[in-house]
Amino acid sequence: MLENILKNSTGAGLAVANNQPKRIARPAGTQWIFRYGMVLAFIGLTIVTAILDPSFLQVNNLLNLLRQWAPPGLMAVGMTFVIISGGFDLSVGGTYAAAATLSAWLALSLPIPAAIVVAIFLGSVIGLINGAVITRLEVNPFVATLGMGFIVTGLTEVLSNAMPQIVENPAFQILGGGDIWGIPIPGVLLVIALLVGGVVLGGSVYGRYIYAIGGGDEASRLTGLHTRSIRTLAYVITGALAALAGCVIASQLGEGQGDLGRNVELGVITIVIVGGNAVSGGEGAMWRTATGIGILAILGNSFDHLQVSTFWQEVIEGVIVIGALAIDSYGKRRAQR
Amino acid sequence: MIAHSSNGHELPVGAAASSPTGDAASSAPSMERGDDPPIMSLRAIEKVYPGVNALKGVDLDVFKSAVHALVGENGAGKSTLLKIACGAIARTAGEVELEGHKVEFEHPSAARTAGVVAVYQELTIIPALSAMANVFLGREHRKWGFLQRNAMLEEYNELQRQLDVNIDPDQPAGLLSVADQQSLEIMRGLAADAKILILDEPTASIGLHEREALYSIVRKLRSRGVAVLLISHDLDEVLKLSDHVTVLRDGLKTESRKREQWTKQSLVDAMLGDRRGSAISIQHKPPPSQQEKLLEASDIEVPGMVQGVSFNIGRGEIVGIAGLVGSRRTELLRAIVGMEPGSSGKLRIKGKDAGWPTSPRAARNLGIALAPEDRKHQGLVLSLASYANVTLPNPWKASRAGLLSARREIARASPVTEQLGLQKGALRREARTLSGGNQQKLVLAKWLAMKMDVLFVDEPTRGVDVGAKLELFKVLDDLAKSGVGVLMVSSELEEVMDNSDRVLVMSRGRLIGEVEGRKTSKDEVIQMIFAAEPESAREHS
Repeated sequence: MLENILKNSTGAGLAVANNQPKRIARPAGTQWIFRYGMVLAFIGLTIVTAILDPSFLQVNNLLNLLRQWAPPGLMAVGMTFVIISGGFDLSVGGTYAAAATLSAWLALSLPIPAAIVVAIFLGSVIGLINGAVITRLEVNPFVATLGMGFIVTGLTEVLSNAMPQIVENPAFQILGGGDIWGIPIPGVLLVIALLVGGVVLGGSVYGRYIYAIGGGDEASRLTGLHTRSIRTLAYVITGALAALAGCVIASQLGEGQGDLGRNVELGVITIVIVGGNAVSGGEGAMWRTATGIGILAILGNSFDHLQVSTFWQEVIEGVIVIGALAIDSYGKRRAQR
Repeated sequence: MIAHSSNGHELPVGAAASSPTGDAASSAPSMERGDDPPIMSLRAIEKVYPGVNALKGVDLDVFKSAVHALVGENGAGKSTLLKIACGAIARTAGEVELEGHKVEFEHPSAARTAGVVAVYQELTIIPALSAMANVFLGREHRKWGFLQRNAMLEEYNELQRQLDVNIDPDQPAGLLSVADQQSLEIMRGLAADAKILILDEPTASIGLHEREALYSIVRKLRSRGVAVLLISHDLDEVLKLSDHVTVLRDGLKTESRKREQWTKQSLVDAMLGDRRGSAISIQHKPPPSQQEKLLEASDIEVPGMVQGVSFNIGRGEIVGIAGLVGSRRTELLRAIVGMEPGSSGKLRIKGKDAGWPTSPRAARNLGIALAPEDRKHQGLVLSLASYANVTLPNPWKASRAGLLSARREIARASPVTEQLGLQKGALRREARTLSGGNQQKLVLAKWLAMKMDVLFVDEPTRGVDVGAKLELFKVLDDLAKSGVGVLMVSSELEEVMDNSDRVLVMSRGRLIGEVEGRKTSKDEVIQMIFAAEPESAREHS
């Protein structure tokens, strides 16, 4: 159901098959399998995990997973925009840690909501700078955001003296630890972000622009689109969501620290790729990112349950990322050859 | 004309003769009879794509020392057949034989090793590498892992001599003209001992006088024993260059004959098939009588490119620009739509002064838009659905509160696309799946939906087949009738002359004259151009 709501509206793949002028029997459904391969994998994993580990489907476990995967999931929603627009954001880890530290530090002197708003504002500004560097100075997004990640992480450590900002105030823990109608607040935020993000990406004018600049930047510019603003906004969205994720984690931990964000960006990109979004831009959808979150959450859960060492977890995740991309390009090549 | 060497060894190839026959048979008019066995034979090739049967059993023989041309409308299956011949795509059924042996090319590199080399429209030159490095890419002369520059230079010069070209071996290939880059690709093929050279639309992207140079290269290749397989939309070129011509239509071979047995008309008839009777003839609109000027541009400068050009376009007028490649026609168009950052000039729109556009957006706001030559990268977003390309300039108009729906977008796009004769079914398909002609219509539809006053069209018929070409000019004519001003650039002088009310003649970034379209002869314009071109440009023609 989530998939249906979030499905992007360009629907190109299906439309092609329906409107070919001369239709002949096509090889049974192989295209379909490649298109929804990761959803099938997600369903398969869910079934297998549920059989091997009956406690998996317990409500408490699922709610916990939701709480745990909300921060990377929120960042992945933003990253989906950036990647479909043909970009990349390696600074989300830095932004995440900076927002966590800033919100915790501000929470000592300001009302909690104000601290969170300021932190999210900071994230947006970082995104704005990313966008400006990429679109105005024309620095490659990979390089621009890599550098920005270092700068933000470094500044956070310098300004906090590399000390964790610890918050005792229980109100600070509501964002990450509280519930609404029994559902963890971070989970609610994640679902809202996926839904809103899905509608914006798949159904709105802005979403269309994102697909357009990702699929053909030059053609979009010549069509008269404000490609710079469109691109920059994608980084602003990602920055803001990364900051929100940072506030959530600070709230869950009761503290913020500059080194929270190490390698976080890679996990976020992993989610987006595992869901089947094209790294080259122009194609993809929010339901794919939702699938990516689901797959990685279930895997993490099973690993913990089966007591797989974190090192082996990394190995398996690596295999899955490469596998997801290989299957994707195999499917595309088959369609072309 | 046919350069087969006659060694008495006879092997019939056509289906008409299925057993070896004596000399008497060779006088029979049946086609596809060479004195040698074919160097490459494609037998009953089929290709099925999901949803489309692109080739339905095509036979083709290619002979040594001969040029075999493949013609047909877009979608007839020409490119698919060539790509199967050189291993770029897999066939569904049929066999490929090379020198009498069945072969399986898993990949173009396997075909290349076997001597089958393809030069595509999209060249595979690596711009940052030198001309020579490109020619020897992948098969460099080496010793102990070090490059042997002198040995390569020697072979490079030998190749240049064979083809009678002259390209600086140390020049980065990206700085060379398209024609020179093409020569490099051909040299690369020769360096790899190509027996069969496949040329896909070789003259589509090069200018008048460079074509002659390419023709002479092809003739030299033929005399060296190379078999050339050629795809071209230019029927004059096909008749001029080839020994055999095969016509494909809807994935089937309709006819294959020696060149002498074809005329331009019979080729067109064979290509169009049943549609030949309904071929469109354009009743050109008369040139507009009233003289409301939609656009007046003066003193246009693009540093290093265009100098002091002034012209105007009236309401309902089609203005063409004629000139050789390098006359900077395209740069002139680009300058006015804000794509040449350093450009300057004065602009009046409908009699009012307007600021010089510095971005495509600014030009669009003035009612000027460009349908660029490079449709695939500059005109369309290929990964988007066709309707989304039409609504892309302003999706808000097809949205409700910023939310889009395919139904609303199609409702918005279809009146325009129908006006241009684009089937409704095509709207839902990804833009990349449309034919060249339909893609061009999509670009025009995009701007038509935006109600632009002035449309610039750069090489509108590039990669577009005969039937669709006429249709496109009809569309442009209708546009002009409805009051749009059209400025058109084409490398095909004939197209410009036949379809414009007025023709501006450019040379080397300057305007050298203006003539009336349709009433002026082509020769007169060519005279004008060559009188203005310096000696160096004349050498090739």
